[in-house]
Amino acid sequence: MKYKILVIEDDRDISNLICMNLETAGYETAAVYDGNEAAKRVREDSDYDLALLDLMLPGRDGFSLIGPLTERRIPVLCLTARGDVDSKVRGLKMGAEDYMVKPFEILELLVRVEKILGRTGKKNALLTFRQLKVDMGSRRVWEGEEEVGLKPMEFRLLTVFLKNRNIMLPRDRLLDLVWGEDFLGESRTVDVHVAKLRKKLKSCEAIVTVPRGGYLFEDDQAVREERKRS
Amino acid sequence: MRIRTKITGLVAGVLLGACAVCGTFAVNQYMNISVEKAAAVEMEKLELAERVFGQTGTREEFERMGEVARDAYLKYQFERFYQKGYALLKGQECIKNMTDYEISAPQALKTPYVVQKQGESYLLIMKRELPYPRGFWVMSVRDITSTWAEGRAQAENFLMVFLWVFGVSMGIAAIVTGHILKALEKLRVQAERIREGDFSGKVMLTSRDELRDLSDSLNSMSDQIRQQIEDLELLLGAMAHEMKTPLTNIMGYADSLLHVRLSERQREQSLEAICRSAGRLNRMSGKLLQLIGLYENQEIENQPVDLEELIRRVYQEKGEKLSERNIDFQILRRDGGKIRGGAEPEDQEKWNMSVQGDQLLLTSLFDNLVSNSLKAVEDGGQIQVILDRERRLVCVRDNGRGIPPEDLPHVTKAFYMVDKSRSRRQQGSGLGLALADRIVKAHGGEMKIESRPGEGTEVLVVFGAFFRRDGNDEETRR
Repeated sequence: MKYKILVIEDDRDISNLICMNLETAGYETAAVYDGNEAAKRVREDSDYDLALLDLMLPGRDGFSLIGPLTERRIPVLCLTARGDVDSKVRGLKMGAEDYMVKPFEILELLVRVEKILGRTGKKNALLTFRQLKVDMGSRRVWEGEEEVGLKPMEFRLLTVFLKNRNIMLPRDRLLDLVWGEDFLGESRTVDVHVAKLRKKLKSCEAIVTVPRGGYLFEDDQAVREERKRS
Repeated sequence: MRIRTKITGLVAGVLLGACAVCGTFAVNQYMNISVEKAAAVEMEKLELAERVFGQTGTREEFERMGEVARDAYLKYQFERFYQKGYALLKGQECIKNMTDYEISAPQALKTPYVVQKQGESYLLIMKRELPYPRGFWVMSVRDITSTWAEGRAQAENFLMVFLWVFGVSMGIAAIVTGHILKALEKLRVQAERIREGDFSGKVMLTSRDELRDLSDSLNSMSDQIRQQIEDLELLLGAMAHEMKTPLTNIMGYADSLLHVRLSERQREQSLEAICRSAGRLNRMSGKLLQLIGLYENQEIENQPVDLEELIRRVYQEKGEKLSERNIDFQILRRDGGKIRGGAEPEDQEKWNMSVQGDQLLLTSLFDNLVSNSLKAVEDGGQIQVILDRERRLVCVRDNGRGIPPEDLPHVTKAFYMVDKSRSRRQQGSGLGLALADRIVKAHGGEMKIESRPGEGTEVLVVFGAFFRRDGNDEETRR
């Protein structure tokens, strides 16, 4: 089951950009382009796991949408060009989970989305890929019918890959995400753990080494779905 | 030298000079008059004494006497009639001296009287010849020291008065200069504050003089600068904000292209989006440069520009888009209340409506206005450009979607967009009308926008010193 994310953004290009990346990373998206429509959409169907909300919208103002969204237990990540502290404080006080100022990096957006979903997600128990099944709650991993034992860091690395499919993750980024920003290890550590994952799990052949870049977890399913749509 | 020293010195110098000249003149005059008066009195006395003396004997009697007898007789009579202070002279020789002074060289006395200083005292000396016997003179010597003393007292009085006047004048001058200097100091402080970028303060001078004018100018200058800075800050802020959207797009799509596995179609879309956003930034910077150029150098080229020709060129540029969307574009002339079509140049005489101005800027102006109309109208809509030679105005109107009344006052602000997402889709930069407004103002004209949502928009560009709003506008609309 995929997470469903509502993207409320009036600029079509930005909206497409966000949707494209979220879909590639394995989320399901729905885009609305103005405030009134967003309010209507939320009234009709509140089955969203997260809403990305532009604060400056035609029609209804973005701030006024935070209330209705949080009432329906949809966490809100504000996305806006307004970088002033007042707007940030106002947005967060009104109940937004997080705040991002344009222009933003795609990877940062994905990480923040993931963090929010990790905090609030209702169905984050199971991550799947081909034969692979990862239970986030009990921290157990199966491949096919067989359970595979992973060390804590290997487990975290695997979940980072599974949550950011099709996105190139540089080694230093992986260090930050898995080992934490205070970790003073070398990027070799990442290589060692990736090698262990590949050895332990057959599905981890999907982890591709990008020359001079990092690693990328290939999931053709998202790409296939995209192709189906077009 | 400080102004205070200058003004004080000037006042003191002028006062001293004026008083020295006036004082010397006045005291001198006074002395002269006093002495003359004394001389006149003395002369009268001499004449009186002489008349009495004349009774002592007739001319014949004297002639009959011998010289020695006559002299003795005269001496005797002189003693009888004249008192102290007189002397009798025979030729150059003093024969009877009743003065307290010794008389020497009486022939040196040529003028009617002379004042001589003898020790501490001043003497008024006069002589008069007796009518007969011939060769005898009466000399009078009078002490007029008191007159001189009076003169000196007068001079002292004058000096006292002068000192008073001097003191009071210097006091007043000090107060007045102090006042002026205080005002100047206030102005200096204000100028300093403006230099430091603080435009909040105002100089408040209560006097009604040139300094007040200066302070008023300074205040309005500060207001003007603040206004301009605020305008530019708003413009810059709006610009920075407007740049974020295309930048987000460029960064995001490029980032995705670099780091995310995308399908071929998605790659294409991303590249297109990057192109679009870069184009938007480019258009924005072009218009901004024009706008800032108009802010910076208010000078524009000044040459006759044929408006109809210019608008026809704008029309030709847009021709493709117009026919594609099946939009009816008309260039009309308004002549004596009648509107006639003038789209075909060859079938009518040269109808010149030209204004003094900058060809490039004016092209940009009408290009912007026509582009706006193009964005507003639906396919199959209508755009009209009406040239009115008499009232020197050009009207661009369309039957498009119109502008909501609450947005109408703001549409000439930079980056103000009535419908942001729609405007972006149509590649609007939000600067078109701001630029148009600046261009019209730079040409000394005025732009007026009237619009009704759903019915259309009409932009009036009036080239001329002033703009009249009258009923004739209604006529044009019909």
